[in-house]
This record gives sequence, structure tokens and C-alpha cells, in this order.
Amino acid sequence: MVTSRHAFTALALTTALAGTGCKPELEGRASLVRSDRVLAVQSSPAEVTLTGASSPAVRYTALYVGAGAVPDPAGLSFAFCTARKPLAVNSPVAPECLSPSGPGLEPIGSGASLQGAVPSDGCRMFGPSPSDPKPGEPPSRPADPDTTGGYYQPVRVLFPGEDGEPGYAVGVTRLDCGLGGATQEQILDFNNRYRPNENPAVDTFVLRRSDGHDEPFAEGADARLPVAPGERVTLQVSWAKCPVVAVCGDGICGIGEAATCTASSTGCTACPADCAPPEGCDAAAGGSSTGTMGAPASSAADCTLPHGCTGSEPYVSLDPAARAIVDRREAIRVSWFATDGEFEHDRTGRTEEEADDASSENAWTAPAAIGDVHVWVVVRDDRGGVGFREATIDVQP
Amino acid sequence: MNFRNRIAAVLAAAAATWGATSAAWAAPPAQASEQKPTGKLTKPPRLLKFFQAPYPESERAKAAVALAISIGADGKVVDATVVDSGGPAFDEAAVLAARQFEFEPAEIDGVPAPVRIQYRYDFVLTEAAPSAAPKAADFGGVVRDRKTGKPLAGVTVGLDAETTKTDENGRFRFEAAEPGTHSVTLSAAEFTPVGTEETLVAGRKYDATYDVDVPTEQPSPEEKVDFEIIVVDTVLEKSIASTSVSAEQGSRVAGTGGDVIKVVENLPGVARSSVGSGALVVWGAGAADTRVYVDDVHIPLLYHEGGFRSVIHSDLVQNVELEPGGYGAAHGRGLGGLVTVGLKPLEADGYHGSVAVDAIDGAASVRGSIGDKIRFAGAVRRSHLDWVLARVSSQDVGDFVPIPKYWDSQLRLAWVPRDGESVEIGSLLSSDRISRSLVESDPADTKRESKATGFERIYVRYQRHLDDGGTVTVTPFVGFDQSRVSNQFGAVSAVLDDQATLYGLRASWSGHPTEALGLTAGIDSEVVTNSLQRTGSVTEPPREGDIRVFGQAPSDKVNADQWRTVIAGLAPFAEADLALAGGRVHVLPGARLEPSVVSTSRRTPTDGDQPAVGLMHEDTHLEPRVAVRWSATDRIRLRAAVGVYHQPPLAEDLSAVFGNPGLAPGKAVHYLAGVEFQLSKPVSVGLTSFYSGQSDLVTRSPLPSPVTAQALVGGGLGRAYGTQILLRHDLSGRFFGWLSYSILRSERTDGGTKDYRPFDFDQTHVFTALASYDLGAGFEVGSRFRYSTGYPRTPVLGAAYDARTDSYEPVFGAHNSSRIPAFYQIDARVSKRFSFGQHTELEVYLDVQNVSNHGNPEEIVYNFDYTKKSYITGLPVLPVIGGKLTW
Repeated sequence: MVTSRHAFTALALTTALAGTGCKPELEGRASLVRSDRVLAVQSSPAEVTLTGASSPAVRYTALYVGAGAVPDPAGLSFAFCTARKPLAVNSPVAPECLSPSGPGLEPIGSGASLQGAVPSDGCRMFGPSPSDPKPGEPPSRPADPDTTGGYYQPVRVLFPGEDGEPGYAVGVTRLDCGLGGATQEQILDFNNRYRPNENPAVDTFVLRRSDGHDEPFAEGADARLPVAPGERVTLQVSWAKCPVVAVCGDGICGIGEAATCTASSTGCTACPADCAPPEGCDAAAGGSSTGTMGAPASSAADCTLPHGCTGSEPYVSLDPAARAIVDRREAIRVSWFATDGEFEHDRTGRTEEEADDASSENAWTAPAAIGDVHVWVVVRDDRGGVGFREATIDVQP
Repeated sequence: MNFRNRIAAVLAAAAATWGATSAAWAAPPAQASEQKPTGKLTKPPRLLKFFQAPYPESERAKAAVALAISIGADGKVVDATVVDSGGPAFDEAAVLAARQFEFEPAEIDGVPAPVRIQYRYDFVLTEAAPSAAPKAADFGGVVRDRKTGKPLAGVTVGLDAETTKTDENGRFRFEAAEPGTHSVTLSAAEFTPVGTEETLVAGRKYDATYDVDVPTEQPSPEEKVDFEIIVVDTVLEKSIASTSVSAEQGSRVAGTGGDVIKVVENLPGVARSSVGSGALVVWGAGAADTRVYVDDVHIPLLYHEGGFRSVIHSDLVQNVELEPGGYGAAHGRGLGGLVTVGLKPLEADGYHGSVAVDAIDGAASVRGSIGDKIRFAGAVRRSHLDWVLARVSSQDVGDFVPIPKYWDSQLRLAWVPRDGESVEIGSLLSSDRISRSLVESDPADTKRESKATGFERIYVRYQRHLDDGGTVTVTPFVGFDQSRVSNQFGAVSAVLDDQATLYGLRASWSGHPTEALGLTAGIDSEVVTNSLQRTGSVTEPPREGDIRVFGQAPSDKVNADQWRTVIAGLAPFAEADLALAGGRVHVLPGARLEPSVVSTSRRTPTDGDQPAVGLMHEDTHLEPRVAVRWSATDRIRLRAAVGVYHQPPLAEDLSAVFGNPGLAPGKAVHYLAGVEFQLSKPVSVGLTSFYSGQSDLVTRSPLPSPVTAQALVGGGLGRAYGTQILLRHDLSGRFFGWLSYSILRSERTDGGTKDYRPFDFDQTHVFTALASYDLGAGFEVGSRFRYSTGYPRTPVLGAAYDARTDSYEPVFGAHNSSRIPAFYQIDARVSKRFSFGQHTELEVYLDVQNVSNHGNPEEIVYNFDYTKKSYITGLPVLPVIGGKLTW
């Protein structure tokens, strides 16, 4: 994202961030959809645990949109990236995974939503558990976690780009690889209290007019509201308010809760009501639906996981500087997209400190031209979880 | 002990030994009838001319030869025979010598008459007195009219109380000047007396040139009569490729705001630093590879953050010297160049000071003495740009442009117990703060940065000029360096905190045991202890060689580490200056033994409760260096040098998490050759070609899965080669200036490969032309033109969408295969001096950077998906008005 302001011309200093002398205006807003794009890739479940040689199944759903008609999802090609990128490379994946095929890619399939088995060696490849060294050689450096203490299995999505060149998007599945470099007590505490990530979900999507009147968008294909040309409105999304302290029976398997607790599980609260597999979940048949936007039936693994909160979840992680287990809250980022008109901000959100506020809003100005404007809103938590919602604004006099 | 053959002739005894038997053997005809001859000796012969006999080479004992010498009536020796032998060799020598004698003839009865005398010739061998160590200096020179260059006759030259006058060639001489510091005065009817101070060393010959302004008309009160000194001395020249600029010239260069040390950026071999960066890149070496000294005290940087000002007040600076490579054995621990800031000697000439202010900062200095033996000087400077901008800008500029806040101070106190000896205590302090925030609607896009750096040095400097012409200097110092850099990109924070304590000692002796041999020997030791903390991504801060886009968010894969290091070196060094071929050729062999110890508190990352195990390794390197200087003619001088250099790893690279505790020192070999033509007295042109090959440089591990504690590895290679030209007109009359051009290539390899790619700060062409002219009436103008090739950058071929962070990440092409467009800029300066009395002066100046307001691209920026690119431009026209009051 590029700001469009000019610095005072009395001086100019180069910094690592931005802003030297005069910064030029550059074309394009991230929030304006002018071509076929992938706006999000959802992994369901959002996080899996790799144990032994298991390869848990995960469903991947891409939010693949275009400026006009919905692009053909058959052009989407998914593959697991199995190559580790060098330390100094900022890219989300190793460069060799940004290709149609190659030795670092394990194809999953094509389509807007499909199921794949996460490679079982993910924690060795992308986590804190590197391969055992050869005799006489020192061990490999473990991968660094992200700011939430997480590790991720990257998924490459190839889609038809502009001018015949392929476009690439990278989604992830969070991997529960345990703690690296922690003491035994910390590992026990973490194992007892950590809960896998749950994808955030949009609870309400509301259009607020200039007179303050709120009109919610309906779910699914009926999500449609009229707006006058040039009218400035406010769009607001909200998500679930997640309890900081787990309460058994609230339907959320929170920190410290488990279906069953053993004698050595300190700080554990047995709460089968919240932490047992969801009702009606038929693991053999693929389980019940847990995705959004009418996603098809979730993976079998989803049935074995207790459910989290679809908002700003509390979680625990190892603070690398303090070397202590700390309680955290997820930050939520909201990305706004439309095929026309102009958003005031491309992205909004709530920080970890603002987690109790479970909503975010953005102003949008309708275009002068009448017609349908497609709007998408994507909510992401900072543990890799994704949820999205679509609506249509009918610009008419 | 040297023996010389000498003959101690005893003459007085000769007259007393002639015997009573002497008789005239030829008498003048007597007058028969009038006077009856008595035959008595009325006047003895008197030796008028003695001839010294050569001491027989074969003989080492003393001897005496008795001779009978027949002297004629005309006083000439007719015959000499041996009466008593002293040995055949002595006999022969004595006879030969006696036959050369000439006498005033003897008189018998008042008439010259022949006589025969007996003469004893003594041969005595004595030890030669050892040549005494020279106790005086030979101080001479010429006084000239600066405008015409013609010598001035009849000028009274005073050396303290002693005076002499220049001859018709304008020359003067004090053959036996006392060593030490003297006041030199020049006076004549044509100009106001002027004076300076010279320090003379026993045994040396000085040939000073004094160029005096002789006004053609009565000077107005504003005009100042000054003069220029060029002192030519047979001192041990240590540098082959150095460029030195006096403070007087450096303060007048346009675009430097009167900061003497800023002139270094305009010297050949120095890359143009990007706007807002004070990094010094010399001959393709990294900024951390060039060592900076203030006299003998090592300091970590030359400029404050942002590059606006240097860290030393210009009033304390005598000169600044840049040696881009090939420097002598007295310095080391750097693979790049050497910058030496020479402080002015403290004088006992009353109280003086200055106050200066402009839009950026304010400064003050003072110097004086308590009696003749206690002298002091001090300076302080503080920035106020943030205060100024807050009052003149219409928006909160600090939100977008980090505004540096800095201060520095220097304090010197010297005791001069006698001429040629001094003890100085001093302190050098510097501090920089810079911070900025960019708050965005998306918290993940909010950026905050802050940087706090500073250093402190306390030193003692003892110096003594010895009677034999030598100089002893001892400088112990202690120092503290602080650096804390903190960046926040959304939830991703990066912190690097480094606190260092330094203990240093430099001691050296230099002298001239013989006229043709100069020697310098000494020891250079430094112990640095660091305490470091770092959190964040491995890629923040980025390293040279990292492929990235300006403003790109760092990776959110984070870690943390705390570690301590001790890096110690104790390097004895020695260097000689052999003057051959009558002083036309100087060969300067030198060597430096560089043992170093590197100790780290952790050899592996923290893992649970496992205790920390440290790592220590020792390296010893012999660094031979040799240089040759040949004055082919009086105007042409050729030079060449070769040297080996090592540099210990940086403490921040020794982290077991982010770096490698086992890093070894880097190595460089410098080769250079050049020629200098003295076209006229102030005009010279120099051409230097160089090659620097580097090895064992620290680079990123190329492995996708690096070995534990080896995120960085050694084995990187580097090379830089090129040619630089400097056409220089020294300050003479009203004008000085220079043209410098360098064409060079600097390259690196990355870990695991042998393929070279352009160094991140490579600049193929760097051209600087600057000039300053004194218009008279106190006005002075100056201008500077700079051109440089843009820095290399890695092109972006496309982008991939990171669905986790909703951002696009660039896909890069070949490393550093494109460049930012070239830079060019014109700066101008105009100043006016107002004189109030003999020492008080007010200077008002206008220093305008980028007069033409040319928008120079400084960095490449892209839109959100990297489909469009443009450039951030640097400084627009930047006028800085300032004033300085000096008394």
C-alpha cells in the first residue's frame, strides 16, 4: 500500500520505512478489483496437528473474483509447497514453488474448493523440528515461528493472470508443531493450554447510510442493497466476541478446557460439552459444514477438533524475548474489495489491544455509473485464519 | 667507536730543538773595511707554512721522527734528513712534509742566511669524537608575494627574538635553531607584520615557503591580510594514496554548511551516499570497513544520523585525511579505508571562541590558556531542526520524515611542561536520536521506528619531541558506544540493542636514526566488550546482499537472542622509510602483527534449561605492507603500495540465532599505483589505480536449512578495482578547488557461490568539481557539481499474492542487475565576512543545496501489486542561512 502524501520539502531523509523528499502517486488501489484475482485462501480446519506419519485432510477454498463475471474456478491449481525457503528471502514460499510444477510442489488438484492431505513432514520442513543430522554433522537450524508462535504449511495457488502469464497466490495451513527451545515446564503448560486456531467468520455485514440507518446484508445470494450514485455510505463487519476466560458450556473449547483431563494435565478443565466432536459430525462421511459462504462439507479432521471462537481468540504462545509463555489475543484485519467505487481505506482492523471491539468499518463512495458493484470483505486473524463474505450493491438513482 | 687518522702536530717544540750547533753554511759577503762579521745568529728562522704529513695507513701506533732541516737564505727548505728514525713509513712521511715547509729566513749578523735546524715531527693517533646527536634544526625558506609568486627581499624574519632579513632571492636561514616551538614573524614596510608558530625538531632541515598578501593599495578595514604556509619537511611520509584537506579549505566547500569533515564526501574514491545517510563507502568497501580516528582515538562514525553534520566541531579540526586504501602498518582492523581527523594544536595565544547558528543546529566553541603551560579548548553543538520545522511547516512533518536530533561536544585540556612535550586530556561525546510513526487504519500497516546512537571517549595523549629528532606518542583511551534500533511493522517488531565498552592504547615512537632512515614502531591495542539484545526477523535489519524492495515489510518469522562478546587485539607494528638515490626514492616497508581474540557467551541458541556454553577463538595474522615513492623529477612523483589487512567480525554478527559465533576475521589485500604531477606550485594532478581483493567476508548461509548457529557464514568474496583522478588547485591567492573523478567496480559473491554480482553500494562513476573564490571585501563564493552513477537494484519481474497477510511479495530478477538513474546536483555557497578589530569576525552565509532543484531519484517504489514503479526523489532545493561570530 502506498500513501499519497508529500513530505515537507525542507529536508528529506531516507528511512527503511518510506518517505523521502517527494513520494510519487502510483496507480492502483488494492481494494479495487479490476481483473481476475485471488483475494483469500481459506484452510479448513485452520490448524492441524501433525502426529507421526499422519497426513490430516484439509479443505482449501479460494476466493477467486473478477471485475465482471465470476472467473472459471477450473483455472485454479492447488499444490503443497514442500521446499523450504532460504532465511533471507522475504517471500511467503521458496521461489521454486512459484511455478506451474517442479520438485518442490505436491499437486492437490484444481477448482475453487478442494481437499488435500497435509504432508506429514511439515513440522520438520517448516517448523522447529528439523531432520536428524547425519552422523558427525551438526543439526539444522529450526525454522523461526511467526509473531504468534506459529508455523505454516504453504499452499501454492496458480490462476490465469493477465497477458497469459500465470498468477500466483499462497495460502497456508497452520501447523501445531509444539514449542521449540522451551523448558519442559513451558512445554507442558503450552500443551495443556494451547488450542488450535479457528477461522474467523463474519457475523454481520451492515450498510450504514449517512442518516445513521443500518441495513444488514443478507446471507448468500440475497446479499444485495441499493445505493445512489456518488452516495457515501459506511460498511461495517462484525465477528464473534470471544471470551477471555473459558466457560464450560459456552460452546467454545477455550484455553484450559479439554474433552478429558489426565492427572498430569495441570490447569486443565474437563469440558466434553465444549471440547468433544460436534454433534452430527460423521467423520466417515466428511463431517458437517463449518466453512463460510456455503462451503461444502468440511474435512474429516474437522470433526475430531474441538471448536474455537470465530472472532479474536485468546491463545498462548512463547515470547522469544522474555522466554515465557504469555497469554495473547488475536488481532483481526479486515480487507475490503469492490469492483467499483472507492473505499476510504484498503484495510482496517483491530489490534490485539483492541480485541474486545469485535467490529470494523470503512467508508465507501458509490461510483457515478449505475449498475451492480460486487463487494467482498475478508477477515483474517493473525494466526492464519480466514473468513469472507460477499455482497452486491445496486447503484441506482 | 669510529677512529679517524689524525696527526697532532707539535710545532712549538720545533723552534726550541734546533741545536746550538746550527751554523750558517752560506754567509752573505761582508763589508771588509767597515764591519768585522761576528757570525752570530741574530734572528732564528720562523715557520710560516706547515705541511701536514698524511698518517701512514699501515701504522696504528704513535711515532716521532727527528729531522735535520737545511733552510736557505730565502726561507725555503733545501734539504731534510732523518737524524732519529721513527720507522721507515714515518720517516718518509716526515721528510716529504718537511720539504714543503716555508720559513721566514734566519739572520746572521742581521742578514738573511742559510741555517740548519733540528726538527722533531710527532705522529699521534687519537680516537675521533663521536658525531654528536644534532642539537639544532636548520630552519630556512623563502618569502614571496602571494599574487605574483615573486620573492620578497628585505623582509625581516623573526624566530622568537632572533631576526634575519631575506636576501635578494627572498630567502632566509637560521642554521642553528633551537628545537621546539617558536613564533615566526614576517615584517616589512609593505605589509602588516604577520606571524605564525613553527615546531622545529633537532636534526631536521626545513624549507618553508611564506606567501604574503602585499596590498597594492591601502587595505580597507574589512580586508584581512593573511598568508599561507607550505612547509616542506623530510618527515616520514606514511601514506601513498591519501588526500588531505586543511580546515581552512574544507570549511569553504559549497554544500557542506561549513563543516570541515563533510569535505570527505567530495574526495576521490568516496561514493556518494544516498540522502539522509551518512554512510562512508570508500573504494567499494562497506561503511563498517572504514576506520575513523580523531588523532589516535578510534570513533565509530564520522557523521550524525542523516549525514547533515560531522561529530567533531570544525573549529577544533586542523585537517582531515582520507586514505582509501594501502595505508601503513600503524593502523589496521579494517578492510576499507582510513579517515584521520587531525585536531589543531592548542596554543597560548589568548582567548578565542565562536558562536554559530543556522536552520539545522547551533554551536559554540572556546579556546584559551592559563599562563603558557595550561591550554584548553572546547566545543558543543545541538540540533534544533525539529523545533524549526514545527514552527514553519503546515503539517506534522515528523510523521513522514524522520527528523534527526543530535548533539556533540569535545573538551581538551593540555599541559605543556616544556617545548616539544605535552600531556592532553580530552573527551569526545556524541548522541543521535531519530524517531517516526506512520499510523494507518490497518494496524498491520502501522509503522514505527526509532534509533538512538551515541559514543563517548575519554583519552589522555602524551607527546614528546625528542632531542634526537624522534617523537613519542602515547594515547590510552576508554569509550562507550550505544546503539538501539527499534522498528515496528504492524505486529512485527525488530530491536537491536548494542552497548559496548572500549579500552584502547596506541603508543608509538618515530625518528630518524640516520639521514636516510626513518623508523616508526609502536603498539595498537583495543579491547571491546559488547552486550547485545536482538529480537525480530533474521532479515531486519537487512544486510548487504539481501534482495529487497525499499519500504518492504520484513518477514514476520521472528526470534530473539541475548549475547555478550569480547573482541580484543594487541598489534605491534613497525615501519621504515628508506631514502635512496639521494632521497628521490623512498621505500617504506612495514609489518603489523595482529593477534586477536573473539569470545562469545553462547555458541548455540537457547534451548530450554540448557546452560549457555561460550566460544572463544584466537587468530594471529601477520600483515606485511610496503610502499614505494619515487620523485622522478621535481614535478613528477610515482608511488605504489601493497598491503594485507584483516578485520574482526562485528559483535552483532556473533549471535547464535541471527549470526554465527564462530566467524573468522575477514581479509583484504590492497594493490595500488599512481603518479602525481606538480603542474605548478598550487596545482597538481594525481592518478591512482587500485585493486582490493577481499575474502572470508560474512554472508548469509545459502542453505534453505542452515546449520544451527550458522545463519551467517564466512567465505564470501569481494573485489574492487578502478582508477581515480584528482586535479587540485590548493589555496593560493583567492582561489582553490578540485576536480575528482573515479571509475570503479565493486563486487561481491554470496555464500556458496563464486559468481560475482555488483556490491549494493557500487557506483561506477563519481565526479565532483568544486571551487571557491575570494571576491574581496569579505565576499566569498563557492560552487560544487556532483555526478554519480545510481546504486544497483534488483529488478522486480512480478509478484505473488500472500493470502495470509493480504499483501503482494515481489518476484525478483537477477541480483543487482539494474540501477537507479544517475544523480547530479549543483550546490552553491556565498558568504560575507565582517571584521571588527583584529580577531573578531562575523560571517554570514547562504548555502544552497541542489540549486537547480533537480529531482534526483533516490529509491524505487512500486504500487501495491508491483505492476507499476516510480522513483522517490531526494532533496529539492535546500537553502540554509547561517551565521558565525568568531573572536
